[in-house]
Amino acid sequence: MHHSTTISAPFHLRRLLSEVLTIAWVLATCYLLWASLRYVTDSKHPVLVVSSESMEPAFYRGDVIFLSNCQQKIHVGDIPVVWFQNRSLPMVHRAIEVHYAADSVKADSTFRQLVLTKGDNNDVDDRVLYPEGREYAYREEVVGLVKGYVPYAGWLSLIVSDRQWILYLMLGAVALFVR
Amino acid sequence: MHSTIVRVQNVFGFFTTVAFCVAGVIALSVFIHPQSPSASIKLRNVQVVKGRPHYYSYKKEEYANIKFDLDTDLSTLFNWNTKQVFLYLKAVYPSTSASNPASEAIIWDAILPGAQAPWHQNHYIHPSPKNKSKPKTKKGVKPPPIYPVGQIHLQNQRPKYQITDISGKLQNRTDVVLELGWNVQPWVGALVWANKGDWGMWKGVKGGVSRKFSLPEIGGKAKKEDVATEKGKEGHRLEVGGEHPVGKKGF
Repeated sequence: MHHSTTISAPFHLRRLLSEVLTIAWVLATCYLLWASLRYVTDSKHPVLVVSSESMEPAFYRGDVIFLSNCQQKIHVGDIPVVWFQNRSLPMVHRAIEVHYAADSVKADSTFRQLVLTKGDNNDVDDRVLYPEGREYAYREEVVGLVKGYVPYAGWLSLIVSDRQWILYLMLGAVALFVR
Repeated sequence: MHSTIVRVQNVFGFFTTVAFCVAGVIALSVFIHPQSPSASIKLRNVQVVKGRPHYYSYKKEEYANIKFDLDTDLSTLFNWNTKQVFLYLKAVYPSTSASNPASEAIIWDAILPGAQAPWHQNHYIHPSPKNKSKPKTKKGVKPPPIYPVGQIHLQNQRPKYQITDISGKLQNRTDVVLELGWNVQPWVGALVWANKGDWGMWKGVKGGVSRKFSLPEIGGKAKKEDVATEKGKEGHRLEVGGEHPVGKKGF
């Protein structure tokens, strides 16, 4: 009868823990879904936002693309996402040449896949963009092939990546309203 | 429960759910649209020349310039969810090493826009057949397309790209075929490529592969117009700073 009046301070431990649990549960579910997507597509980056105009009119800036890395053999006409080491951004272009060369790196002497890419909106192929001395990209440098897309859905992400202060503003606004 | 913020949140959440469902239905609807693509490809002429990649390379490689005839009807690929079809003709030839899979290289491509696609400079414009006269058009009025969307009829078409092999040698290569491929880009959903077999209502492509041929030896000095290539629409783009060639540092 007097239980509710014994808590005089505004601090409710049970309610706080319950809210923390809810947040933790939401975060864990998001992470689990993301990890499952990475597992199913066999790709470290299953979702990307297009940030250049080099594949117009197929992909415009702000489009969201879904990748899958399950297809081992790349064919010309596919759209591999090539991410060279030490580059901050990957290249989403179309494969226009695929060759196979004897593999001098792996011990079991299987063949290695070499890919030349070109953006639909570019005049020349991507050789000038490849690292020094490289004529082709390797299959290992492809993080996935584009299999699906949703237009315009990535615009907020592009705006935020260009202007980081918007992200802090949004976080501040959320914190203000949740209180 | 009735504050403005909560109302805005509810509307936004409902909008997102509806947009997601509509996009899903549109994306899945393409599978119930029947397709029956057909294509016929003939080799017209092929020449092998020695050349060097036009940027900073010191080694000379052998390039094949393949001219072809193409007749195809891809109009059934266009449904309400088709934004464009990226059409390409590829040359498939065996590797110099018997244990490696065959090499592939695109020699020609075209971007066929869907009916609702906003105009883009790279959209393919079908050339008029040589014997027909061009229809008279008023100034400022777009000329009517020569064939319905998805139908291509090309004779003795120059390639867009001259192809080479990683070995640098292409002359006297046997068992080369030209194969037609396409990539249907939807407004939303999955990208699909050419299917050889039947998938439900989508029939596999009829034809679409040329007869096998061999690449000839390097002939005498080839005439410049015989081994010319056709620049794609993206090659005619005016870029900012485009008057200077892109160097290694450029993007």
